[in-house]
Order: sequence, then structure tokens, then C-alpha cells
Amino acid sequence: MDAVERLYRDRYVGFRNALAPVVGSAELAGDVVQEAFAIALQARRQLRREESLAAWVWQIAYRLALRERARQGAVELTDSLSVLDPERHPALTAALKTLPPKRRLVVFLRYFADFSYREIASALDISEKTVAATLTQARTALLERLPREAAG
Amino acid sequence: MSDILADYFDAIADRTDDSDWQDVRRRAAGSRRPVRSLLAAAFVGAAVAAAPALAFSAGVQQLVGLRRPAPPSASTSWTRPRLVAKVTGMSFQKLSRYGLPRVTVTFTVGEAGKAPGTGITFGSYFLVDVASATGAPFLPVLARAYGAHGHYEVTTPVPPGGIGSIKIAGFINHPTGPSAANGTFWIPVVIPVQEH
Repeated sequence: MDAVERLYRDRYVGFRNALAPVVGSAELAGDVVQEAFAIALQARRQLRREESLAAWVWQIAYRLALRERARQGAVELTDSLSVLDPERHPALTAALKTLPPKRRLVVFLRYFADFSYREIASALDISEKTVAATLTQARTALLERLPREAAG
Repeated sequence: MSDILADYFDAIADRTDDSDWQDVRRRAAGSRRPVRSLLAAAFVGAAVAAAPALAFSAGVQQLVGLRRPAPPSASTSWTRPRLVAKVTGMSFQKLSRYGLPRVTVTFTVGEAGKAPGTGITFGSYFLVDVASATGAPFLPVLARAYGAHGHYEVTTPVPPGGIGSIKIAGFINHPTGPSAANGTFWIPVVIPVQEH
């Protein structure tokens, strides 16, 4: 199986869930992910050997998502959490809203898209130390606002 | 140590797997869009110029305002043909599963007053910019058209608010090969009024 296809099968759902807050719905996010992988399939020769395939495809998908958001004329969507239902997940939704969008994106990449620290660093062009620090801060901020029992 | 946040996200994650690899392959194969255009579309608004392998040509960068025009070259003696584009059809479609609307625009290009295809040298190509009717934000994405002998077709997303204008740019190749006379420029577009 081709590496791009393998990545797609492993990560499609995670990518879609991580992008849904960016574009405003899981449906649109799925469409963006489809397009991103189609581009990756065509352009894979341009991937540098040292680059992470997941991070590279994510960058394509994320930029497509930003473009889609611009198409919608949405200005305030950076704060959108429309993928989360505040009635079903009030604590988490409220807690996530307290995070700045960039930190929230790191959290989504980690927990929705299942990215490693290295992949997040590569995808967002930041250092692994920054990823670790950001996640630590985000965890602390979120856990302060979340009930201690596991969600259900 | 277990990660309590992971438990939270596990609980809320939408696990619906609506992936469709065949759809990805169809998009990759069926779009026939060149890698350069696709990447430029995906990366527009980011530091395009910083990644030469992914960037548009200098002429296209000038068109979308990413680059200042180069000083006029004194070395050219070739006169660029006076081309006119005429939109011959527009059809709207929902290519994606989730209904992102797209439009296929067909058009002809040729020298003013002459048949389509006249004045178009080998290696030339055309790019289409579809702008919003309401002026809604829409990043300057130029889609490459395909065709031959003066007849071309492009499929591109419909901007929010509908289509306000269509601009067509041509990269006209110098008849004898690469030259300073090559360039990308907007072509006057004729859109006939259609009765519905």
C-alpha cells in the first residue's frame, strides 16, 4: 500500500476532526481532507525526505481549510467550536474556549489527529519543546476547568 | 500516567469513518490540475515566495499581487498577439460528496477578429480567476484551464455570493522558445448575455 494511502486510512478521521473547528463542520472538513490527500497524491515527489508525510499533508489540509474559511467570509471562526456540542460537552467546550486558537489547534492535533510531538512541531513549524510546553499549559488550563471524572 | 484529557477527547471524538480513498484517487486523477497550480492554491496566503519549488511563475505572482512587475525588457522584438477570450458556457456542479459548488467555465481564445486558436503559440496556457459577486473574501486563486486550439475549459470553486466576474490570464510562449518576451497578462473577456 502506498504511504499516502496508508496515512489516509490511518488518519482520515483524526484530520477531519481536527479541521472541523477550523471550517465549521465535519462535512466540510471531510471534503477538505479529501482534497488535501488528492493534492498530496499528485505532489508527493515534492515531499522532502526528512519531512514527515503526516505533517506535510496536514499543512496542505490546513491551508485548504483556511482558504475554505475565507470563502465562507467567516471572520470570527478562529473562535468557533461548532464541532463540539456545548449541550453534550459543556465542560470541555467551555474549557477549550479559554484557550487561544493556536494553542487549541495544538490540542486538537494531539488529541483528535493523534499527532506525535514531532509531527505537531513539523506541521506548525515550531520546536518540539514549544509543543511540549504548549500542551502542558493547555492541559493545566483545561484540567482546572474540567470535572475530575473522565468524560462519558 | 494516564492522560485525562485523552479520555475526554476519546469520549467526544466523532468516530464516523466516511473516508473514501477512491474519491481521493478520482480527485487526484480526474482534476488533471497541475501540481504547481494545486499547491499554489493550497499555499496561497502563506509564504509562497519562500518555497520556490511550490511557487507560481514570476508572471503569475505579479498578477495576484505577490510580486512587483519586472522592469520592461529591452531585448524583445516579438509582438505579443492581441488576444480576446470569449466565455462560451458555464455549468455548475457539485463535484464533492458534501456539495461544495464548483463551476466549469468553457471559453475560447484567439486574436481579436480571428478564429479561436490564432496567435496562441505552443506551450502557452491560460489561468482563470473567478471573483465573488458580493465582493466577499476569496483568495486570489488562479485555476489552470485545459484544452487546445483555442478552446479551453476550467473547473473551479464558486466564490461566496456567486460569480461576479471572470478574468482570464494567458501565459503566451515566445514562438522560438523561452525568452524575455514570455509573459502572463490579463486578456479582455467577452461574456455574452444569455437568456434564461
